[in-house]
Amino acid sequence: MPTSLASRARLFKEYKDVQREKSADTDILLTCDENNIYRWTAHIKGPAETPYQEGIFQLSINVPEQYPLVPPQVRFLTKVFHPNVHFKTGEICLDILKTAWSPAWTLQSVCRAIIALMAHPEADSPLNCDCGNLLRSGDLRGYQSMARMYTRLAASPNVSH
Amino acid sequence: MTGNLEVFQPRLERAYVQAFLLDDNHDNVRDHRRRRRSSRKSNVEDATACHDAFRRAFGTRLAVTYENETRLAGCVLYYLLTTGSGLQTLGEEYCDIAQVAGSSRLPLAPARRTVLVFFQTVLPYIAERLSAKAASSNGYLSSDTSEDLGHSERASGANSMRHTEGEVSQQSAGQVNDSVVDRNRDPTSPCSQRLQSLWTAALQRWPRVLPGLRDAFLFAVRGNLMLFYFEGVYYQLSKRVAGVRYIHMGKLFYKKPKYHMLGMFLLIQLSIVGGDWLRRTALPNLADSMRAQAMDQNFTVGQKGILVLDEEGNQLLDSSELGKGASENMASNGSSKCSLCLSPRQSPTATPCGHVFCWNCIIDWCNEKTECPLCRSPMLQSDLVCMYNADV
Ligand SMILES: [Zn+2]
Ligand SMILES: [Zn+2]
Repeated sequence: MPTSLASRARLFKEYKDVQREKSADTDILLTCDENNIYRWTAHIKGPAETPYQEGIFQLSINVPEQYPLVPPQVRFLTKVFHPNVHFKTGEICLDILKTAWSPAWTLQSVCRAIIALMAHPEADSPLNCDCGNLLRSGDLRGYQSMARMYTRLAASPNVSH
Repeated sequence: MTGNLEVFQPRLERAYVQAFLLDDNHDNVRDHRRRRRSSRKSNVEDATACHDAFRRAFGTRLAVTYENETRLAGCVLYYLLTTGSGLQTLGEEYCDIAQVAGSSRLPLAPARRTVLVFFQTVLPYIAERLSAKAASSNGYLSSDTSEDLGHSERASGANSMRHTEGEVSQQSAGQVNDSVVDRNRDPTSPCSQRLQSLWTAALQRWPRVLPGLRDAFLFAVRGNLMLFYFEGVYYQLSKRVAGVRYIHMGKLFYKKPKYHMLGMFLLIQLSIVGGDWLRRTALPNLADSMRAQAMDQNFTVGQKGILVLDEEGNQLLDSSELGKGASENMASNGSSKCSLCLSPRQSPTATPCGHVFCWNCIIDWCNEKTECPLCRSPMLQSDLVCMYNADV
């Protein structure tokens, strides 16, 4: 099992790095399942000056044993209205999590990429067709109010706790 | 001998005349001068004329041995009888110019004349002798210096050799015609011993200083030439040092030519040479000291890193763990960390784009996808180079 050994070693390194740099990046809180190093959870802050601002979004991260040769599977647990996120399953359409994966990415940097995706929605490859259509028809206001509403409903710390 | 003096038109002065002043417009004096000039011989013949006389007087053997000295004697005599006694040399006469003090423009005082003659004749000779001797005795010295130089029968042969050389350079001070070499001086007299040890010490140091000195001298000569092209006052370095310049006494029949272009070219050349020299000598020292400083800083940073780890980690209290943490910290400080396993690189392997990973990490990724994990440039597994011999 050389690959699982390698992935364990690497995930352990990432864990230590996360512990060390916890205070450096306050937008991302990465936690590892105490019994399974392949299961991670991330809480990310919605980027400022977007409809997701002030929301806290929960991500589930499943790391395959072949990691880092193959990308981790990341999906939103929190409901989010975004053209590149499946509204029901939380699946994320992001190239680096699919074909453009590189082992130089870490879980931390993947979370950063997802935050960037939230700030820069890509309407041309929608997983959420309604959202994509709103953006493509130029109804920025409609998209923003929908996204803000779902952020209030699902991602607001006051509501969820 | 005085009959031969006419052929001792010094070469540099002639160059000066040709470069700056010689012109066919000196109508009234031309024929007269031409006659004289045609009686002069070529450079090579000039050099051998006095030598020739010496050979006839003292035989070929001695003449060959003291070739340089006879030439020097000829030059000294020539300059003493012309410049030294306040007369014009042939070249100066030919061009109607006279030497005056650079500042006051008055005829030269005897002291200044002597200095000038010394600079023009004896000094170059001494410099040449010294450098030639240093070059030839270099090998001999390196084999001999481990011995105590004060005593030795073994070195007596060498001693007498050095002795003769010392005398030769004494002779260069002007008594060349006295060709009787005193070889019977007692080599063990304390005075000569001290002289010898001083001489040897100077010789030992000389070869190291010599190249730089020679370069500096050539540089000065060229610099002087450049200045001459700009201001047109001192053609020879010796004249500049002695503060002796020429003035034209006759009528000027033509416009004084300008040589600023030549001066510019020389200036460019000199600045390139000087810059190169600076880069080779001064900058490496600077870089060394800067590197040393950087090393110091790195060291303190590394120590800080260890301290931080110490405070932070409860798990790191174990001493072996602490060491591990420190080494990891160092790895992250430098670039020796593999970005695939996030650990110090094992068997560092370079991609064609120049990124370095562990051999195992990059080979595994290569089976997945043939592009660099960091920059995505395409690569083949056969392109990977494990850097066995590199210190990375
Ligand atoms: Zn590696
Ligand atoms: Zn690369």
